[in-house]
Amino acid sequence: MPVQPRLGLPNPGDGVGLREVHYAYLMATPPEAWGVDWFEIVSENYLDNRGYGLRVLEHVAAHRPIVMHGVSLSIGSTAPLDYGYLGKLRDLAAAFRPLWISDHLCWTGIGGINSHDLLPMPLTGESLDHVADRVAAVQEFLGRPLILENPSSYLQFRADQMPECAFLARLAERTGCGLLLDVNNVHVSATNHGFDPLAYLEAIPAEYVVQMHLAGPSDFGTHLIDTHDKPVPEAVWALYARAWAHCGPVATLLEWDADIPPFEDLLVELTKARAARAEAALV
Amino acid sequence: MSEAPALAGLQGWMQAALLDAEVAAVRDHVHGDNRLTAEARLGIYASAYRQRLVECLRDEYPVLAALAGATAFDLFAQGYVAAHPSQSYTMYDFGAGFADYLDAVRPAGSPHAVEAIPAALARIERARAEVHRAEGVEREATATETGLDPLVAAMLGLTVYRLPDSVRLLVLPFDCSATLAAGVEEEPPPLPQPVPSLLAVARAHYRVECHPLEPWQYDWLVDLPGRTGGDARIAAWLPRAIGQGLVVAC
Repeated sequence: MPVQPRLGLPNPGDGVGLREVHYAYLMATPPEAWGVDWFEIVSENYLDNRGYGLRVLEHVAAHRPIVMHGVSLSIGSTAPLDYGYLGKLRDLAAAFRPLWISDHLCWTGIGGINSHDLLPMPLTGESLDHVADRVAAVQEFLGRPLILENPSSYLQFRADQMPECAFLARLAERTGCGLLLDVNNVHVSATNHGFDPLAYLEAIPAEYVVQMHLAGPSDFGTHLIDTHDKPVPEAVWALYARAWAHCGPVATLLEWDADIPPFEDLLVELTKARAARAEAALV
Repeated sequence: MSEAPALAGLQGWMQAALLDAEVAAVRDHVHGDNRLTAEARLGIYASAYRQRLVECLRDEYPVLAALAGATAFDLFAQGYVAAHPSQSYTMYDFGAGFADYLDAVRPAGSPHAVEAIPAALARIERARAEVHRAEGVEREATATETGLDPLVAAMLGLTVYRLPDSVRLLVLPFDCSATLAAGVEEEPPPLPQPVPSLLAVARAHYRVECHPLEPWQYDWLVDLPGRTGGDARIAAWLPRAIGQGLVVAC
């Protein structure tokens, strides 16, 4: 059976991450003046949170679609799945009805330890089987497709047997999971490992892409690090235009997690996405 | 063709390398090139791991960080990161044991010794972080909203009061009020005074505040749930305590 574009999920438009530094602005500004179509939350920030963050989330979710984006699912770990965590994720989703739930193709720890980092997967057949089994289990538990993001990476294992784009493509086709194509992460990893980012994009099955991420990395001379603390660089806008031509229209989200500017400045950056899409129409 | 190392083995090796800065056999497992060696690539993850957790502590303990200074605070934090790797899906839980750690590693001596200040301040700042996220009183109908004057209800002993989840009661060997008031605006803030103190950390209207307590206030709060027991001082204080989010009617 053919796969529907975006797995049949909606395209809510252009969004930003919901961050604490913007709570006061969002609570004081009429929702019709927010200037964004939707918000992405970091799921873990709202699990067990009964404080002001929850109050803001209720307000925001009452006026805009939200998406839950996690960092601790650890879908690639050889440790057992944490069903306590998954239960809380499911409860949060029941309360706020996100358009979808996403996390990363990574592992965060084993043996009960969480590094709170998105650690790279060895890209082997064994890993693919392992992750596919866990994606199926998570999807069954959550009752919805899981959306997985390509992480930025700084190392590649000698054990690797396929490129990351092929791993993600096979994973999506086997499990029916969606893909969150982080264009900045493609740029970062391509720079760090010396692969062709356009070939990477072309290898991603377009119909499984549900969302794209944009962000600004930091240049350390020998490598890039995914710091989310800068405007989106030209190279990423160019890649975004190509990605849009390949798999658009899909939800686009601007990530900014450190040295976060005022909300209005985020909007200025987000409007550049429109210009990039116009360019994509000419590709 | 040799078989690829098992996934579990590679993850065990990499986690050990991150936690212990153990760099054995890096080139057996990781590609290097002329821009970055295999060791340097693994080092990006190892340093990011420590930096992320130290920053998490710095964010949760800003007054202690300002008082201790960057070098001393980072030593505290790095020791804690090494001794207590995160075991939770949320970084919010990571700092929960920081005050106990600081107490455990300080030189033995008087609870009022200057070495005991970091743990005392950390207890207050952790309490503030917990209260920030706890279930508060903001969604509860107050006695006033239900038509009952809290003072009258208290004096008549009609109402049972309880401590909301968004309150922490602390017994401290120091008076940290001047330190907390200076916060991170002064570098460094004034040292806490070696005077025993009682403190409530509470939230009202989503604002977290520290409230010094008299012994009779502390004793009543710590015994909740309960009534005023006809104590006129408690009854007179209750409207303010309710306004500060310290108690709520059951």
